Amino acid sequence: MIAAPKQRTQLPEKTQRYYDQFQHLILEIQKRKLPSDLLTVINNRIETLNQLSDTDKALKSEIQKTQSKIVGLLAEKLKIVPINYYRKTWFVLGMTVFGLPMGTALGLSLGNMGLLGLGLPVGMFIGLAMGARMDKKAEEEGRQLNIEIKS
Amino acid sequence: MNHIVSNITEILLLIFLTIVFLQSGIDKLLHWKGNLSWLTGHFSKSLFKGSVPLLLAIILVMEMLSGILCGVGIFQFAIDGESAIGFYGAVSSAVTLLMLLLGQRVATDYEGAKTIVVYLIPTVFLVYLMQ
Repeated sequence: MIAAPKQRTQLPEKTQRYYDQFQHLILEIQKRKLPSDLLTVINNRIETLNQLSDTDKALKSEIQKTQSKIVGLLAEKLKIVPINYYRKTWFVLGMTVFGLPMGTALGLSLGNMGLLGLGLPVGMFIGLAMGARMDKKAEEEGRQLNIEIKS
Repeated sequence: MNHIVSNITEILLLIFLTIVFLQSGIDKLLHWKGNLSWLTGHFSKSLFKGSVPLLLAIILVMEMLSGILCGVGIFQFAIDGESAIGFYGAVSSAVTLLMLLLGQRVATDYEGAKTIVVYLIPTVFLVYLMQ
């Protein structure tokens, strides 16, 4: 059983938005059956966050850290991801994983290293397409949580 | 529309950085040889004299990356009200400007270094706003 995040309704506007999203994420995760070791880690994270008071200055960043840790764990261990998770990840990865090598290859082969810069936008589009395909696959296989994480 | 109005300062600064870095990156991409020969002369008496092509390539990648991230960040801000990509764009822009500043200082071009600071001020302000 996943621990419930503490009820907080009087937070500053932005922090409240993050916290509402975090609570929504936990509700979505509660609908899934998780292995006990993962459950323990998630519960520990939630309990640590619950111990912070509403006026704690670190609350906003702790919400984000806890949320990103939980999302990362679910993606890594169970391949369960929020909506558009892969698209957001592969958008930046595409530029470095595909864009840089493609740009370097193009620059070296044509003898103009300026073409290195052309690889980045191409890599970005490849990354976006790959991410979108992976998101679609996750949805089809029922591995997608019904929430899009906004930061 | 709501997102645009409530984040207008960030969006205007992101547009500013997109124009600066994409123009600069595309110029280096299109006129690589011209840029390289000018910079080789500029750094001829400095510590960086032997590694100008490599440094120019790094700056080109950083400028394109910053410009693209800021450009995409504008749409993400305007459509979703999300700031993650724009924030990465602002941070990478600041890092790129610091690299350029280092280059100008090492080449003892202090007037050029002052010009970089003009760009660095709004960039750091944007990082602060988006933090």
